[in-house]
Amino acid sequence: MKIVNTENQDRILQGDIYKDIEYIEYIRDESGVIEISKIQFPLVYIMTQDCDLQQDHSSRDGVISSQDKILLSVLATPIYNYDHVIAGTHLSDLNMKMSPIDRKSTMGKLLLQNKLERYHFIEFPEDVHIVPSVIDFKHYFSLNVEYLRSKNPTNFVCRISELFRESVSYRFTNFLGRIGLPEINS
Amino acid sequence: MAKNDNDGIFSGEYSQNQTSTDNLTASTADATSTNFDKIDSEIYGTKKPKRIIFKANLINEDS
Repeated sequence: MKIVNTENQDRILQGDIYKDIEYIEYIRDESGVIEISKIQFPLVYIMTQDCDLQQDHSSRDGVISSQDKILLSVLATPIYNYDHVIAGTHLSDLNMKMSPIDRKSTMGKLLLQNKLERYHFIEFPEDVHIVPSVIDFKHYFSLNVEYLRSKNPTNFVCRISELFRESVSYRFTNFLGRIGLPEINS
Repeated sequence: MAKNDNDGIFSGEYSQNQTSTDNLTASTADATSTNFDKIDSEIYGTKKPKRIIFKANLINEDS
């Protein structure tokens, strides 16, 4: 079974990986001076359910007559370089210091086994030129649909195949749905 | 400072952090890092996210 499909399609699919995607942090207007801050992510993973993406595509292309199924945004998560994550430096260019992870520690081993709920480790097959990578479920964000559609022909890298994308999706929803309990002082 | 141009489409200026120094050779001894050896074409995932700030003056100084 192939883990990754490198054949692009004419629409956005769940599990797609795109390169060089810009996320707008804020737009500020002060006395006529507009400031736009955006983060350019080298790689992002598309998390939105594929049936929603399919219906959105059909609606925008006029196959479905109403606009009921059109999405306002697409959910994405950044994909970070595994070695950068281990070193805690993956967001250093954003002036953010992250916690390093010792490769040989229990946490380091759990990360590789996808047993740390926050992260999803992906190692790509030899024919896909992506370094070992980590999805950080805590850093999800939304992208404008038309913006991402415009990037589909040029910035598509590959797609995680169905079974494996379902695994990512399942772990992501578990992470989002987790219950944060307060510490109980005895 | 950025200015509007005459046809109403504003021009602006970008600033951004330095791009990361890529990590193509990092940790080749680690069993999970075999993909670092792929240098025959573009290798994805070696860069870090960077912030880009764009500023533009929306008030037309000529008017």
